[in-house]
Amino acid sequence: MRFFPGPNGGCRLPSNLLIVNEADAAILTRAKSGNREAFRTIVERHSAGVFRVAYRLTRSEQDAEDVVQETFLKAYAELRSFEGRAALGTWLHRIAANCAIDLIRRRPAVAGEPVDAEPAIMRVASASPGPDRQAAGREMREHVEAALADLTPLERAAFTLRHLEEQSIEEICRVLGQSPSATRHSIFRAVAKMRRSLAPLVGVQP
Amino acid sequence: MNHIQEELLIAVVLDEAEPRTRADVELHLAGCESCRNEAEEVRRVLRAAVSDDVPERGPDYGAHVWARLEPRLPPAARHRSSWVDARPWLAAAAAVLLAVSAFVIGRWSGAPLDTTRESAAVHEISTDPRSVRERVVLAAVGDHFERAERALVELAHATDEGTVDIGAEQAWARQLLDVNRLYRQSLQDASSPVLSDLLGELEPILLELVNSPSRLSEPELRALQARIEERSLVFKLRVTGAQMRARQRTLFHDGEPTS
Repeated sequence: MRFFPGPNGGCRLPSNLLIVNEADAAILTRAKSGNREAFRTIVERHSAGVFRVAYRLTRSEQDAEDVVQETFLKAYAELRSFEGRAALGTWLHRIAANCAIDLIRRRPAVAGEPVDAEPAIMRVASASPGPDRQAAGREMREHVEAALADLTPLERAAFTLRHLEEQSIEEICRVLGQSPSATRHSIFRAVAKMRRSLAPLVGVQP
Repeated sequence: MNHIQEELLIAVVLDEAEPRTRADVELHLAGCESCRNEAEEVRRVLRAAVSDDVPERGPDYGAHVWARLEPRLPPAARHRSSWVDARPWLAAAAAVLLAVSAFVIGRWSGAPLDTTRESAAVHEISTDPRSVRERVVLAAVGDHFERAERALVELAHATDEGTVDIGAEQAWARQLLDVNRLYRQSLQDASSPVLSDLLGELEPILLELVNSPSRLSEPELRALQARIEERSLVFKLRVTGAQMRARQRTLFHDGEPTS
């Protein structure tokens, strides 16, 4: 199965794609002709979105910042082959996803923090106001972080891109270099694992 | 009673199941509290997952990213699409040029550029139809020179082992050639030797490129590159283009008060 790394060891770029929104179209044309100011506009316009994808996949601010840089370097190098069949933002997010996945696979595994089994959701739902609820919310986020960290890079990528970034299965296939069937299985496995981690917090009373 | 398998349940909750399968599952859920609870649990897990906390980035984040990125970018990216990006409007520009150039070109008869004209003369010039027409010529031919320069630079730097596919370059050379002929003809008629001579030098190279095989051997490519080099075409296009841009700027700024 062809998976994350590109032929040169760097992150693999997605194949080129679909539509360009009108706001990006003019600036893209100028950037493709080598206009740096135009590329700067692209960077400034899309940095936050690229960071969000990178962070959701790496779960690390520093790594996400590195991915942002790598993404725009790759995009600059490949801009001329971008055919505009995808939204520019979508294309950049795909590059970011590949760069993030490469980075995750390169870095050594870190043992996850033990997860507190106490049902935080119950505290969220309790009548306790103010700080307690905020603390419970933070705790829930920590549990979610831990659950996401327990996923394999592939599962996390598939789940994040589908559920958090709301990309289509077809788009995720291109990023991950998988078949639609394999991509769906990655997502299902991710959800099943997340469920096992978070069920005590969100448990439904029969 | 058989319950719904987890994977199928997840597929339904994620809206990834086939419509018919989904309908079957929903029918089952209507009568099975246990599976309904399972489905609800999956939904809650998914909702909880959305609560992930992406650190905020300020409004100037893009500028920070650029500040880090800019020094790492290659100094002069040559994008094939930059000149492979010729557009039909070039032909339209040529038509406009043909219409106006006969009135204009005395200004480009080889005299040095006068970029220091007194502003007192500016209003008169900027409202003068000749000034407007000159701007049109400068914009159209200047853009043509810029595209041609980028095309030749890219060709001059093309390297490959074995044969080189120049099909894309040929397509664009064909477009540049058509426009080049139009411009040269109109500028010749208007007695503008500086520009028409340069267009005349450019034409045989474009013609050669158009008529070449779509794949060149390495020696053929080297020979073509040498011919471009020996005519100093890139240099001439660059210098003339810069002069034209300077002249354009002068006209533009001079014209601003009246616009």
